[in-house]
Amino acid sequence: MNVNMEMKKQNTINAFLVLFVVHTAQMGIGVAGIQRVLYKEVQQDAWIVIILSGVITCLIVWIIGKTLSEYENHTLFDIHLDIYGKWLGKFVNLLIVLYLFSVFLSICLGYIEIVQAWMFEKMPSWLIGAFLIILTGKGVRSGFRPIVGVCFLAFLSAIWMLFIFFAEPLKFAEWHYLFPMFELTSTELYKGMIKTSYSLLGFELLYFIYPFVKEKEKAVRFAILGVIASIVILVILTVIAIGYFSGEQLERTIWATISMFKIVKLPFIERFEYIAIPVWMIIIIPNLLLYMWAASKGIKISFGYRQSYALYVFLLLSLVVFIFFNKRLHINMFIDYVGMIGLYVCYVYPIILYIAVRIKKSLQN
Amino acid sequence: MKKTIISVIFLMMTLVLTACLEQYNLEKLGLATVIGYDLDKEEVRATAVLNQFQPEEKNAFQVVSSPGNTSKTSRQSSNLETSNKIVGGQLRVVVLGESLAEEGVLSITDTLSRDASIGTMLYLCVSKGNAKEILETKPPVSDMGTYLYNLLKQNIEGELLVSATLHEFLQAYYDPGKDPILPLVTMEDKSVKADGLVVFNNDKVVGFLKGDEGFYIKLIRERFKAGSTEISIPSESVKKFIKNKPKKENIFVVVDDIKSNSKITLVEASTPKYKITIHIDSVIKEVSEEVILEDPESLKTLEELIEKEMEKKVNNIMKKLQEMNSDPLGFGMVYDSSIRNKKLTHEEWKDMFPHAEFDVEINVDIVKTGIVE
Repeated sequence: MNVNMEMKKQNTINAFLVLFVVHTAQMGIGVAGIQRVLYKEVQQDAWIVIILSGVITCLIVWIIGKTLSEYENHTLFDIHLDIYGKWLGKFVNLLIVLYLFSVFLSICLGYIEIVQAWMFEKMPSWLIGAFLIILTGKGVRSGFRPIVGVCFLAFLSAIWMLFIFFAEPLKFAEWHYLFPMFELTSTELYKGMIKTSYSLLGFELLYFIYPFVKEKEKAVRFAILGVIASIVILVILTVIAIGYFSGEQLERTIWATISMFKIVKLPFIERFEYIAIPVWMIIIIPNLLLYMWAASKGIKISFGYRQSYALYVFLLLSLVVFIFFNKRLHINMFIDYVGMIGLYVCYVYPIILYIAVRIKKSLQN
Repeated sequence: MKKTIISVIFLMMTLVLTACLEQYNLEKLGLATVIGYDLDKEEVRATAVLNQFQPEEKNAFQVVSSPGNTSKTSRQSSNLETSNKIVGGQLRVVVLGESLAEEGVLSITDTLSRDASIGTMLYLCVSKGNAKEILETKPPVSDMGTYLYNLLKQNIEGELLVSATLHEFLQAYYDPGKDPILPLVTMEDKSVKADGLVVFNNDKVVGFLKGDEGFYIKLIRERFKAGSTEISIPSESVKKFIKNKPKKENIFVVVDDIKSNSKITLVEASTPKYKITIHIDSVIKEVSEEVILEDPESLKTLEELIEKEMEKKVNNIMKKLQEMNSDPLGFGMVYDSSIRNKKLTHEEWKDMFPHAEFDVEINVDIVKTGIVE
């Protein structure tokens, strides 16, 4: 098959934008409540686990980059079709599309839950979902470059919250809670890393945006920088949360980050979470756009349907899900499953794929 | 053109769609600024002071009170007593009645922390007697909610009371090595005032600390400045520095802590044994006799005497806390953070704390003596 077709110049992006794409794709619902999930597994050493997971993530990003550089202008879907052949390739692509779609759903469901728990108890799920769907539909229709623009803007409109929020919780922090350090055992470390993976998902999108990058040799470097930025933010939020909450209190607090925002008081607004939660929508919009864009793109590449039709079908399906799927227990189970599948898709599969690509290439020579 | 029309339609929809959710009109709300909880037979009685906004009336407020099995049902039945809908978003103070506080307050604090609309920076306090009585009195200025809030706030900021927000209460409660501590509010001749502290064992009140003991509690909890305290020194020991003949047996010195530094270290884990080191930079605010303060030797003697008196006080408080088996200073937290590979439980710490030993070392530096010598 035709490997390495030319990319249209007006569709490409600068390499440094990969940083924002990867970073904003990683920041999502996970940041709001990662502290509790991790604390349950590894207690005060949670931040160490995040750093170690970060190191592994950087390695995986590097492997992904290696795989992609064998192909230059192709996404994961094209690589699959090349390696596995037409039928098996299509099947694997379908699985990948399903994975991307379920990540999309899990982010929406997670956000809907936050809005209902914190701001509008009685707002129906489908209504909040409909807002997200309209935004996603509009965004994905505009094409890839506008999506990257949204990522950049979302980064700028969300990062300031971190600085506003530092001072207040620190006043109540007990640094004793961080000690004794390095107490974790290897099984705890393993379990903790698995739990962190959901919050770090997003870097696998490099598989789909790579062909659009102008200077390909720099793409991986910027992707790794994006991962490091996410790790820094996660570590800061986790360290503050461990100091701010006492052990069992943190285990009971579902969204520790938002609970910490709750005490920030500005002269014109008494409760900062009423700003933070709407801004959170800006944080998740890049995720929704990128995942939906990649999923609909996958359908187009593998099955030849128009990308916009695939998009409409997916959006309609999600609306159905939002209407019928709104028990917290089920939602949590679903998000856990997505995290689990994400772990295999993003951490295990890239290694297998890389080996497969190497074998294929050496056979060709 | 088509796009413009569509976007205009969308923009107009945002105007129409605003009423989709529950509406909160300020004139139709009763903003609860303070809620008091009492034990009324087997039930919890909630009393709330509601602020209402009526254009004709200045300071319109109403006190409602009704019992219920849980704090939420009592709030709902309170709603039947008022023309306005009760909301908790402006809740500033929660008063826990003495009877309830002795039975345990977790059900109340749990409800408060579960409700997203209620801030975790609201103040908690315990009332001597019923909370209802306090909330029903008319304060000298504005309504009881605002009055209590300002009373607690200015005293916490002015370093006279230990900070007691809902968050800090829960932080201490859920920590096995720490117990909550709250201010006590009393009513005397129709006037409400803060008067000392109450300490908890888990979520039950087990004892009281007097006002001046609060100074030492703040002193040991490193995060806060401790404010000022009065210390008595036997006149005999500073006789040679006093200009006139002392009138009383003791002279009193008011010491203001401008910068203090406290450190709790675990010396020995099995007993457990602690070393409490406190360094205070202080200002002499007032001396009841005319003591020569410019003399380095006299200052040194004074410092030593103050140190000794403070150490005695701290030891007394520690003994008192151990008798009540309440650890608001978080010695268990220090224990837990110093011992590797062991997670402290509530029960373990409750067994250990009464036997703990404390070695108190206080170092006072008088850095200023005011603008006169």
